[in-house]
Amino acid sequence: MQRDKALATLNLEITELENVFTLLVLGQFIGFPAPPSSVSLELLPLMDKHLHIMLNRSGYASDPLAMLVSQLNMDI
Amino acid sequence: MASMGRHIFFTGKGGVGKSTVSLLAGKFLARQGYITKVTSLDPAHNTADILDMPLEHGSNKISPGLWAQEVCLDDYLKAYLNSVEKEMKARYQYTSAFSFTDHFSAFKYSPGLEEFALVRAFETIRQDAADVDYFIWDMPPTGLSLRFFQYPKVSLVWLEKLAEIRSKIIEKQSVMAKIQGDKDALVKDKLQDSIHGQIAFFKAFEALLTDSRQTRILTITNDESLSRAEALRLKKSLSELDIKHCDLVLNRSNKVANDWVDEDSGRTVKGFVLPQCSEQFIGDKLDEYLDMHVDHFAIIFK
Repeated sequence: MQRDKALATLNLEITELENVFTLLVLGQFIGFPAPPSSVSLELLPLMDKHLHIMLNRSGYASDPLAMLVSQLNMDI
Repeated sequence: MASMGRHIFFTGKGGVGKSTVSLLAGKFLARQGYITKVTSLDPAHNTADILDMPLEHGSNKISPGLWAQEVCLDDYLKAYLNSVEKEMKARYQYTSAFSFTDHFSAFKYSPGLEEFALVRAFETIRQDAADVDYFIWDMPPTGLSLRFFQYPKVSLVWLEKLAEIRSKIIEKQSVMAKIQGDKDALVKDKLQDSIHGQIAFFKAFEALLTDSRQTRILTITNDESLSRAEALRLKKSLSELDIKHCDLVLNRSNKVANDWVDEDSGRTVKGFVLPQCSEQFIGDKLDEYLDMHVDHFAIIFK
């Protein structure tokens, strides 16, 4: 049980870090300051999974608390 | 293999005589027995006009030891974008059913790609010319040149930040693998590999630009306030990038002193003087023209 909880927490952290990474590399699509184009273009072909995470994350944007609570398996 | 040759960049405001001085400097060095290549990176180049001869795509032999090339930045940009597009098509195969990949052609107009095309052209030409002793680069006007010199530093700031995030992700993935019982798990991360590859490239490029033994920047100015102000601004901006080996060349001036005083700051600026290297058709009179200025070039390249 504890092991599963630890894994879920780590998984959530990794997903969030991947999301931050994607926003930094490809954030120009939503108006963020961007790295030099060549940096984004070089990494873009390797980021199919990351695009999915970013879009998925944007769906939770209006209710981050509920998402966090459900991910951490907390009872309130 | 990349040449170990030295690089001399001629920069300055548009119309101050960069292309003419670049060619004469190339001729001067070729006469000293060095294999010299003059490359115009200015999108509005006029090396062929000055020589009054057509320049083929690639290197053109002008005289013994002297080669010249006009770079078409669009070609370098296209080659790079084609490689990215190929990779994209392989990864996102389903898009080809709708011809979505045609829309990638808009990448060409992304801000910042023009200076990256300059970087690509610079690297490709350097790699392809192993036997060249001196590369003379006739640079675009100040704004684009400055962005070219800034490109490695700006890219490294971003890449190092991205590498830091990837390291955290890899570290957490390793912990996850260990919890799951795979103690020897080696997390492979293609993004981190690509980022490290780019960091190595830009660090080497930055090291080349900041090494005064390999690189020299000569900023051309005329004896009038606008081009002089721009030259001094460029020198200051380059200094902020740790590129401190930038000398000024006062072209089209009758002054005789090698050092001249910056009227705004009152400081003496190390510089060189060329009397009348103006933009004009030299044609096949390159030797004759250099003879008129040879003493000045001897001082510049002492």
